[in-house]
Amino acid sequence: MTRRHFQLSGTASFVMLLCAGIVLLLLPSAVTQRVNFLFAETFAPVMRLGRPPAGETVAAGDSDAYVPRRDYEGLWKDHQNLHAQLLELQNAYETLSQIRSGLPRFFSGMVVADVITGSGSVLHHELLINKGAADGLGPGSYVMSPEGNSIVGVVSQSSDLMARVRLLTDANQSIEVRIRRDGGPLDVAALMFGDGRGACTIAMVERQKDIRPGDAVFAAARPGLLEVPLIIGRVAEVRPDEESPLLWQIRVQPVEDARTLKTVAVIVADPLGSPRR
Amino acid sequence: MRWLPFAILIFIGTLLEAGNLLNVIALGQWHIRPAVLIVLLVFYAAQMRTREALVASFIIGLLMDISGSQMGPHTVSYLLIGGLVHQAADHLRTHRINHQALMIFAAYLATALIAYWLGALKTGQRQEYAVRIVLLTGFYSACIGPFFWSFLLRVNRGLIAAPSQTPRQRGYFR
Repeated sequence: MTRRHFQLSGTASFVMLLCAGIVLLLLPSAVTQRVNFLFAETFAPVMRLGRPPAGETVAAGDSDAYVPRRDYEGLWKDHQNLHAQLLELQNAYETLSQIRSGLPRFFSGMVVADVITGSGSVLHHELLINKGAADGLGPGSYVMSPEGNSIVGVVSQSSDLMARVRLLTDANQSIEVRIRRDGGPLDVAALMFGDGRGACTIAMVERQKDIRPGDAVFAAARPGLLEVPLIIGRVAEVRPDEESPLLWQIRVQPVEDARTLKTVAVIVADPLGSPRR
Repeated sequence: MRWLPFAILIFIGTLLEAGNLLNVIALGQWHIRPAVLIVLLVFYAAQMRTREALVASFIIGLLMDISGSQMGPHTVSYLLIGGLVHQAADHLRTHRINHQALMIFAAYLATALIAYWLGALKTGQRQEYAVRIVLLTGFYSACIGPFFWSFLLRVNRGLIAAPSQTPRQRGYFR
């Protein structure tokens, strides 16, 4: 029996493969991300090998008179968070004193997840974690550091078993924030963007606002997801915007280098139909 | 060409790209890591026949996309640049370390920037420092690439088919 043997020319092979690539490119991310998650779920144990990117090394102090930098950062974050909670409680108390009906208490579940790997691409600041939609995680869920005292990112994609977290320092991540100062009335709402280099920037803040280096930056509260503002970082630099001199260009240094984390906590949204406590 | 060693090598390369292991040799504040799959792309595109080189480039790009977060950009860019490397290999002495490094650097620069632009078109995501990061990664890959290259030559010794095409027969832009 004669077997016909088809052989494509180099040009035909190239055109055929290019068409296949373009089809892949045109497919919506919602469809193709399943393949990415399937790969990550299958090879998660191997991908975990190694270590997360090295963070800033901190030298311990020799004298008892000094608190180690790591302890100081932790205490500073706790202090800022407690202060923010205190302000929220004061507001709630004032409201409650005026109306007898209680404030709605939103459910905020917390899911602890292990970091499988950091971003595969140096262009993106992302983490892949081992909890997904089955645990209530979804796009928009806030992600916190393991101690649970600072926001480090937001879930951008999720499968049943895994989720991809876009860190606040990613150039495509934005988040509503509030800038506050210890012992002062300063409370400025703003939108913060990652700068893609390990820090964040805030623009569109009028120069009339008295923002100074050292002011605390909080993630703004969002009903159902974040009941009280939580610390993100502190203002590192304030300078006039080069394009709009009437506005500030503010650089924010996050208190946590999220790319070095091995565990994170995710705040999950209120499941539909769950009883109010 | 025998495809089994190729499959094993690109599988290991994909896991290295996607996992944490390369963080051990990551450099600087941007955590620049060498691109392993680009070395495989340049090596196989330079060594194989036209159709095999195109298929290999497509597969390596596809795996690069699968290990990332979006499908398509690397598949297209690796196919385009793999084909060009295949044609350019006739005019370069691929046994020379500096030529290998130059090819890896240029190929990484082109593939990464094309993939970045395609990704930006698809998702709207942009990165202010993309060019700088790509340049540094390309340079790092070019520095380390020739060592991988010699390893790949040893692994593939006798496995890659002897060239049966003359330079004029190679490539798809003829």
